[in-house]
Amino acid sequence: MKHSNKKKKITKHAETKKKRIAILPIIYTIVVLLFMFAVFHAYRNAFTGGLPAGSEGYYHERMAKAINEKGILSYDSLSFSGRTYIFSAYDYLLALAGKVTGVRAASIWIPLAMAIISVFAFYGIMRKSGMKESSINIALLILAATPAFAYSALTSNPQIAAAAFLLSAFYFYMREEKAAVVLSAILFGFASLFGAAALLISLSIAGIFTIKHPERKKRFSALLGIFALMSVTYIITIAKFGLLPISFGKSLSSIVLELGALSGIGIFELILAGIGLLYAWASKDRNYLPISMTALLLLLFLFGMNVSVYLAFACAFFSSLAINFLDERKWSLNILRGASIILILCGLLFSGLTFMGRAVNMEPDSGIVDAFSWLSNNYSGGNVLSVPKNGFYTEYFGMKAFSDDNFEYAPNLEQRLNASQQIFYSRDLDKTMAELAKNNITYIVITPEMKNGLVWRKEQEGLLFLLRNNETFKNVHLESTQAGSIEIWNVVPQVQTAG
Amino acid sequence: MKKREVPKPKREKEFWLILIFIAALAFRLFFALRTSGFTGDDSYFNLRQIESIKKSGMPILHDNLSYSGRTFAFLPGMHYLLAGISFIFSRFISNEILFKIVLNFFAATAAIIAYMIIFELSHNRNAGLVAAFATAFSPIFLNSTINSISTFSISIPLNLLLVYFFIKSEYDMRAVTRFMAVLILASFTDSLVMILLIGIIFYILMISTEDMPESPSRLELVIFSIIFVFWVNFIVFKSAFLAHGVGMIWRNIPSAISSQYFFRINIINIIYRINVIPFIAGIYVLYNYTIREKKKNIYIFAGIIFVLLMMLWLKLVEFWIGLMLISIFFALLLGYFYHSLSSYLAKTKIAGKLEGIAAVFISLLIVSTVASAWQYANSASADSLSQNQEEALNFLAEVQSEEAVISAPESGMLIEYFSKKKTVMDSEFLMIPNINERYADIKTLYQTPYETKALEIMDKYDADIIYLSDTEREEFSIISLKFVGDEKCFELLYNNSVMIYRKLCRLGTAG
Repeated sequence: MKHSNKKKKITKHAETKKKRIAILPIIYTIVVLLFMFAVFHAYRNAFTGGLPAGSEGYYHERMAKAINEKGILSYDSLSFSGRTYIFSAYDYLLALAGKVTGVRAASIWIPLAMAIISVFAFYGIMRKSGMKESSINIALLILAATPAFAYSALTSNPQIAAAAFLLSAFYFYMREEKAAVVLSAILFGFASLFGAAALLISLSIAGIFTIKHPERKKRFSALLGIFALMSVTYIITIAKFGLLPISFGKSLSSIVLELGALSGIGIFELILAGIGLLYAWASKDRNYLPISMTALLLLLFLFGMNVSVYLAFACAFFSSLAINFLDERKWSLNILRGASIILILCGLLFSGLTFMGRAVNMEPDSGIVDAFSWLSNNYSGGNVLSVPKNGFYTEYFGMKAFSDDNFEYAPNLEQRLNASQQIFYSRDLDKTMAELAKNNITYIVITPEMKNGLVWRKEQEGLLFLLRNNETFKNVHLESTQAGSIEIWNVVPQVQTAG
Repeated sequence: MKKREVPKPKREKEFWLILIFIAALAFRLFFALRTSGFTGDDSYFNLRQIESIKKSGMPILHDNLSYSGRTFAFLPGMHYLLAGISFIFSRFISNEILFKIVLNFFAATAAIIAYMIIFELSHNRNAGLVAAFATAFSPIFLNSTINSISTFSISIPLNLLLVYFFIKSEYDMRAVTRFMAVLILASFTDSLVMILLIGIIFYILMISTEDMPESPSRLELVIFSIIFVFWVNFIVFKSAFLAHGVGMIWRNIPSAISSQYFFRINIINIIYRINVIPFIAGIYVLYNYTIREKKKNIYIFAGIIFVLLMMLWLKLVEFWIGLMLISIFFALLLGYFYHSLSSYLAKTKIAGKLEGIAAVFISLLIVSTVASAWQYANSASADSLSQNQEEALNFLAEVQSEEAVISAPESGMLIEYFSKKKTVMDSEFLMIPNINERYADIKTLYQTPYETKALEIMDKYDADIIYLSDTEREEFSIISLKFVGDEKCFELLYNNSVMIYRKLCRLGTAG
C-alpha cells in the first residue's frame, strides 16, 4: 500500500514537472516580449515624452474616445473633411478598455495583452496538432522576435487583436469539450468583426480543418451561420459604398524588414520559412493546414490586404521546422552544422535588433506633436493638407484633414489624391490656388520627411517653389526637430476682383 | 574523408618561391615608394575611413562632406586592419609609407598562395613557381594595387586562399575550418568573394553534368558560404539595395560615364591585356582537362573564368576588376600548363632536353611578363597624386568657405581628404539621388560659356568654389572655363596648372 502510494506520488510529481517544462517556452516567449515592450516604452518615455508610436494608433484612440463620449458612431467629421464611419471592432474594444484605464493607456496595454493571448493560443494549437516540443519552443521564440509580431504588440492596431481572437477561436475549435465549442463560436464571431481579412482567414482555417476532420461538420455549419451574421456589416458597407478596389502586386519592400517594412519579416526568417515550407511539403498530409493557410495569406497579401501579423505566425512555424530539420539532419561536417545554427541565430537576432533600432525612433516625435498642437490652438477652420499619414495627427488634434491613411471607402478618394498631387508638384500658382480654394485647404503642413524624398526630392520643387510667394502663403509656424523643421503654412484667401 | 598524401616541397624550391615573393615585393615597393601620394581617388576615401576608425573606432558612415551630406555603405574589414596597424606603427613610420608597405606585402603573398594552389593540383614544384611568378607580376593586378589603398590588395590573396582550401577540402577536414575562417575575413573585406562563389556554383553544375558529383561535405560548405556571404552583403548594402534594387550592381554610376567602368569587351582586348602566353596556356589547360581528360579540380577554374567572362559580357562587373581576376586565374592555369607540358615532354624523345626547354619557356615568360608589368606599374606610379595637385588641395584647405566645391567626380575625394571641404560630387555614387542630373549639371558648368548658367548651377548645389585640374580638363574636354572673364563674379584664387575659382556673386531672383 505504502509502495503504491509512493508510486502515485512519484507519477504525480513527474506529471507536474512535465507540465512545468511544457509551459517554460511560453514563459520565455512572454519574458522576451515583455523585455522588448519595456525597452521600447522606456526609450520612448525618455526621448519622445512617452508618445505612443505609429500614426494609426492616434486614429483609433480618437475614435475610441468618441465612442465613449457619443456611443455608437456613424459619422467622422474630421477624416477626409467628413465621412461615414466604417465600423471597426478594435475601436470599440479600445473604448471598452478605456473606460477602466483611459483610452491612451489602453492603446498601450491592449496590443500587448492581445499579443500574449495569441502566444498562448498559438502554443495550444501547435501542441494540439502534435508538433514536437522542440519545434514548438523554437517557433514561439522566433515569433517573439519577428518584427511583424513585435510591431503589432508595440503599437495600437486591430491586426493583433484579430489574430488573438482568431487563434484562440481556432484552438477551442480543435478541442472536443462542449464549452470549447461554444467559446470557439463566440471568438470566431468576434474575430470576424475585425475586418474582411480576419473573416476570410477565420472561415478558411475552420473550413480546411473541418475537411480533414469531418466529425466537426455540424460544428462548422453552425459557424457558417455566425460568419454569415457577422458578414452582414460588410455586406451593408459594400451595398452602400461598393466593393473596395483591389490593389495588386505589393512589392517586397512592404513585407521585408531590411527593405523598409518596419512591420515586416526579416529576410533571414523568410529564407528559413521557405526552407521549412519545402520540408513541410514533403509531408503535406500532416502539414496541410499551415501550408494551405500560408497560400491563402500570400494571396491576400498580393491583393493588398494587411496580413503581416498572420504571416508572422506562419513564418515562425515554418522557420522552426527548418531549424529542426537542419539540426537533426546528418551533416557530413559537424562544424558546418554548428556554424549554420550560429549563423541562423545571428541572422534572427540581427533582424530583431534592426527592428528595435528603427521602432524606437518611430513617429511621432515630440516635434510633430508640438507642431500639430500649435496648429490646433491657432486653427481657424478649413482643411489641413499634408501627406496622408499625417492626416491622423491632424484629426487627433481636432482639425479636418484633407486626407489620411484610411483609404477604405474614403469619399472622393481619387479626386483628393489627384488634387494633392497637383498641389504638391505644380509650379503654376493659379492652378494651385484654384485647387486649394476648391478643396477649402487653409493650412499646409510640411515635415522634413516630405522634403527628403517622401514628396519632393529637390529644393524648390513644385509647391516648395510657390511657397516663396508670401502674398499667397504665410509661414505661420516652424517647429524644430532632429530631422529638420516642420513648417506650417497658412493659405491666404485670394480676394476675387470684380470682372 | 580520405586523406591524401601530398609530397612536401623541397627546400630548394622554397628558396625560389621566397625569392619570387621578395622580387615581387621589391618590384612593388620600388614603384610605390618612388612617388608620394596614392593613385586613384578611392585611396583617399579609404584613407579618410582609416583615419576615422583610428580616431573614433568607427568609420564615417554619415558624411557631411561628400555630396554635402550623404551615407556610405561599404565593407570595412581592410580599413579596420590598417587602422590597427597604423595605431601600432604610426609613431615609427608615416602612414603613407606604412600602408604602401603593408598593402604591397599582402598583395605579394598572392604569389605564395598561387604556388600552393598549383602545387596542390600538380605536385610539381616548378609548375607552382611558374604560377607564383605569373601571379606576382600580373600586370592588371599590379596596376590596381601597387600604389593604391585598395581592398584588392587583401581580398585577392584571401580569395586565392579560399580556392586553395576549397581544393583541399575534398580530403582534409582542417581545410574546411580554414576555408570558413578565410571566408569570414574575405566577406568583410570586399564583395569579390561573391563572384568566386558564383564561379564555384558553376563548377558544381559543370561537374554534375559530367557525372562527377560533388561530395556532400563540399556542397554543404558551398551552401553555407553562399548564405553567409549573401547575408553579410545584404546587411551592409541593404540601404543601397533599397535605393537602387538590382541596379546596385552598376553602383548608380551616371549613365554618361558608365562606359568608363563597364564597357563592351572583345576577346582581342582581353588577350592583349592579360598577355598572350598565359591566355593560350590557360585555354589549352581548360580544353584539355575539362573536355578531354576531365580533371575535377580544373573545373573550378573553368567555372570561375566562365562566370567572369559572362559578367564582363553582360556588364555586370567593372571591366578592370573582371580583367584583373581573369588575368590572375590565367596566371594560375599557366602554372598548370607548365606541369602538363613538362609531363608530356618527359615522355617524348626530347625528354633529355627538358631543362633547356624549361629555361626557354621561363625566359619567355619573364621577359613578356616583366615588360608588361613594368609598363603597368609605371603607369600606376605616374598616375599618383602630383605635387601640383597636392599643393592646390592644401591651398584649398586654407580657403574660408562653408559651401561646396564643384569638381569632376574623380577629384571629389581628394578635395574631401586634403581640403576637408564639402563637394558637389565624388566617385562614390551609391545611394545618391538624381545622379545623372547632378553629373549633367556639373558637365554643363564646366562647358558653358554663360556666367548666368554657371551661377544657376552653383546656386542649385550651394557651391561657391570651382576646382579645375587636368582631371576636369580631360573629363569635360576643356582647356579652361569660358565664363570666368568677369572678375567681379569669379575670383581666381589659385593658378598653378590647377586653378581654383571662387564665386563672388549670386543669380538675382525676379522681384
